[in-house]
Amino acid sequence: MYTSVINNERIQALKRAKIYIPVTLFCMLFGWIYEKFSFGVYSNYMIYAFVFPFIGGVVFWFLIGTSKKKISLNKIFIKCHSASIATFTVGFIFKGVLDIYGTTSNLCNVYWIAGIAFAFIAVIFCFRK
Amino acid sequence: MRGYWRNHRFWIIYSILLAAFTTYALLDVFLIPHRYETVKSIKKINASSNSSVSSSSDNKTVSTKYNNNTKYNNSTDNNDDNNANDSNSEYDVESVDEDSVEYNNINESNEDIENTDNIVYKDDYTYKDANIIISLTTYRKYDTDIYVADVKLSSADYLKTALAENTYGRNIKAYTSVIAEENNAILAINGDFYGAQSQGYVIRNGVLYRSSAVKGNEDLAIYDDGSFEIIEESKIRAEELLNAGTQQVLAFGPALVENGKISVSEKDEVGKAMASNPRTAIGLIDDLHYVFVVSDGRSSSRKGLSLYQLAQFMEGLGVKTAYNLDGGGSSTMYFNGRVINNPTTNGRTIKEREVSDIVYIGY
Repeated sequence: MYTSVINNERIQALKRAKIYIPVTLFCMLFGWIYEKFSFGVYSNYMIYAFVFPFIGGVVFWFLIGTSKKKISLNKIFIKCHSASIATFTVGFIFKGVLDIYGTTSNLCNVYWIAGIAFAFIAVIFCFRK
Repeated sequence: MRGYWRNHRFWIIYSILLAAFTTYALLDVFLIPHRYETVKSIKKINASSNSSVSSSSDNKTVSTKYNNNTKYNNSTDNNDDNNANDSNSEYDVESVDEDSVEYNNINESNEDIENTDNIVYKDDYTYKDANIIISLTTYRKYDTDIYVADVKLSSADYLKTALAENTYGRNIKAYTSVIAEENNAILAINGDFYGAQSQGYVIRNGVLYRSSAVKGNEDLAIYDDGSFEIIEESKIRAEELLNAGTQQVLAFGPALVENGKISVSEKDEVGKAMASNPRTAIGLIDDLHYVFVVSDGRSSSRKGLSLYQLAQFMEGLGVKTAYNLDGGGSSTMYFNGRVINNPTTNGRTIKEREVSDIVYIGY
């Protein structure tokens, strides 16, 4: 029974890791195509937008899924962790678009604040049952 | 269905919120106009000023520092007679040996226009009256067409700026040619596209519109005597500039030439534009003697300029101070009622891009 629960959590974690693979690839492809049509103008925000789904999604869930220790994660953590990744990724792409156009907006701060808030809540609920 | 909603409602709601906010943010940045202030009064110019453009101090030949292999016979050389321009209105390009560089430039004019009061002469390449002389020349350099308007004024009052729709705000845009026509501009180039930024100094025609400084911003201050100075926003307040007699502050940059020397390196670029692009720049040669420069770009036959190439070109024109303005698809030069260059955003279609503001010569 105990082994079965651990296996189930590992399977779920690896499933989540798989979901983030196409998201990572999409971000890479989107950034690459956007740069292609930007006449040499580039933005680090656009280039590195894929880092969030890759590190926070693929790598993180892969490590959880392959860990030999029993790691039980709270549902709120899972939701906030994912929301944080989504917010930062969209924020980076948005900031990249603005950079390449050559403009700025205070609305970018909303992404950073929301992303940090979700990450903070996720950390709080990390190991709570 | 209920089970799906129960399991996924957080994601459904959050995705909708994120998408809605991003859509709003994009609309806010690129489309929704924010009108902050309408320009109420534009300083009237004493058109009957006794001063007229004097040739005595203006006949300097633009220095020819270029080390290239192209010679240009300029369109406005030797315009002793106002009627003599008709046959000179095209530039010839011929190849010559390397190091035998020669630019017969727009300033090689011995004309005395003291007697041109009330006389206006204009064609596709020249404008002359008692207070303003403009000569337009096209160069072919760095695989790019570069348009240079040489401007001599009797008063700095004729060097002005204008805002799209005569309104200060964000996403208030119009074509350079439209703003120019609305302001009866003789010559106009796009400005610094202040509307794309939410911070940075904006002073236009002696009116302070925005005083929030941006660390690292290098601006061009144009004083009421027509002189140029490169300033850093972090070192001087906008109000101080205004009190010192600044008429215009253009905040794009960087400075290309300061004290007659190139002030950018080959590695410097605007933001992160590492490629050659269409460019717009303004330079001061001498008192009330300016050059407005626009280059084409983004096509196989007109590759565009890097910032350093533009700086080299400006230095070659003999400017003491030169400053880079908004480029890319914004780069537009308007002269005597028509757009001179080939403005393009995507490199395929020749079409102006709407901008926030222009720098122009006019009454």
